[in-house]
Amino acid sequence: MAQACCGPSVAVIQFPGGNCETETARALAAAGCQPEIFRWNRRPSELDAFEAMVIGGGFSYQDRVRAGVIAAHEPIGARLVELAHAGKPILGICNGAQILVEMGLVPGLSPDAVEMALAPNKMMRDGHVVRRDYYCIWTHLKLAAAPERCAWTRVFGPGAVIAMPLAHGEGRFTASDPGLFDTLAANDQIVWQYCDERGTVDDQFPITPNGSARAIAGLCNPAGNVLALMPHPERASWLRQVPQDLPGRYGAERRAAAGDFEALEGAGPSRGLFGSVVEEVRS
Amino acid sequence: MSIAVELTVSLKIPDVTALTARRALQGPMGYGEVLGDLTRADWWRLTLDVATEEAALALGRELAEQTNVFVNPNKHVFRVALHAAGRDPRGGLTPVSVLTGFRDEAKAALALDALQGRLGYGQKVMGVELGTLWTFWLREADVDRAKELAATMTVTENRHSGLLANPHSMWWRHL
Repeated sequence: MAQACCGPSVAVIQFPGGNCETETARALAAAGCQPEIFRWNRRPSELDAFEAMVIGGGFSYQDRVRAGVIAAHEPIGARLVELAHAGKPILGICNGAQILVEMGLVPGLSPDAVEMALAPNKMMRDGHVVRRDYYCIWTHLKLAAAPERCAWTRVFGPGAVIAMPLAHGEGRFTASDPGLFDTLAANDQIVWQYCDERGTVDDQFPITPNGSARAIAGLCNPAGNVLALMPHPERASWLRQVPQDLPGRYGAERRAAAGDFEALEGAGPSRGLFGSVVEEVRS
Repeated sequence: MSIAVELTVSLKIPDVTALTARRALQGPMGYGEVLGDLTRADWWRLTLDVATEEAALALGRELAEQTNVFVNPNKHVFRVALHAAGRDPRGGLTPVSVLTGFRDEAKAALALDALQGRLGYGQKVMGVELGTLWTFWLREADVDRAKELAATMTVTENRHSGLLANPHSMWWRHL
């Protein structure tokens, strides 16, 4: 795998049932990181050598009991919590986000408490349930927090609108205390929200494709170094990955690049997430 | 007259979900000394419009055996009873049964719709509820203490305790 010289070393943690680690490592390398796939049963202390960690997507432990919960209790989890508290950047993508929530790292207001859930999708429109469960679609996301708020958004401009696909059955951020989301909004922990191609945030289906509270797609911890993100940035890291019929800027760029190999191999809309951690570690 | 029966459906083959949950509880979560075993079944509560308990049990068995909604006979075994709990202690282990489920699940409503509609049972089937029945087999003779332990192992309140029900999206109760 091609790796950029001198970029931050990033452990891509692979649990049994994970299925996105290779492409996540490729996307990290394309952004200038030095990724290494790190199996969950290595000595947890070996993680200390890395400057950042990514838990990729998939179905850890076949989603037994519920998505992410078994992986969250593996011994490596305790080390991840310590490293998160020490300020190391950690990104959870899809199943990785579910694991971070079940670990209590996100939203992370009270130490170790599991304060929310990523519940089964329940797509809502005008007060009605219009669809449930697994869903796969390209979405647009709007940067809702200041770019410097989170280690994984530093290179984006304020209010940036990007696009990436999602594919999950349990991606609905929810909490038994609805007031939690006021606290998260006040803390600027709501990092990414689902929106249309023009950047208009809407918590209704189909813009918010899973019923997530406040149209939340990505949520960080109070310190901003840990991000739980449901869509898949590694699947939108090259322009060639963008569907030609995607509405808005990125679909137009993709159509304009048709037949231009160099342009197609250029950065996709969400490479900046991985580029941000390069900047974060340098700083 | 409405009478409810409880249908429990479990796997004939080893249940890897239950085995994985047991391993997590016994190992990294630290309940190895107290938790002897953990078993799991789908739990359906069927509210039926029948005259007697015997008729309710008979209709419950018919729904389990003949509709293909609840049971795949190639891989499942089932039991129909007025109350699903009531496992006897075995090998010095005290059984404690806990029900869990997702608050917004729709499978019960879909099953009811199928039974009342295309399967032709109409209002003979008045209601369907669904949960997951977990039975903890505990090295704890005191039943009240065993129930407390089971609750602790069930409800995910923090990173260290509770595996089976995240209270932000799920319900649970002792059965």
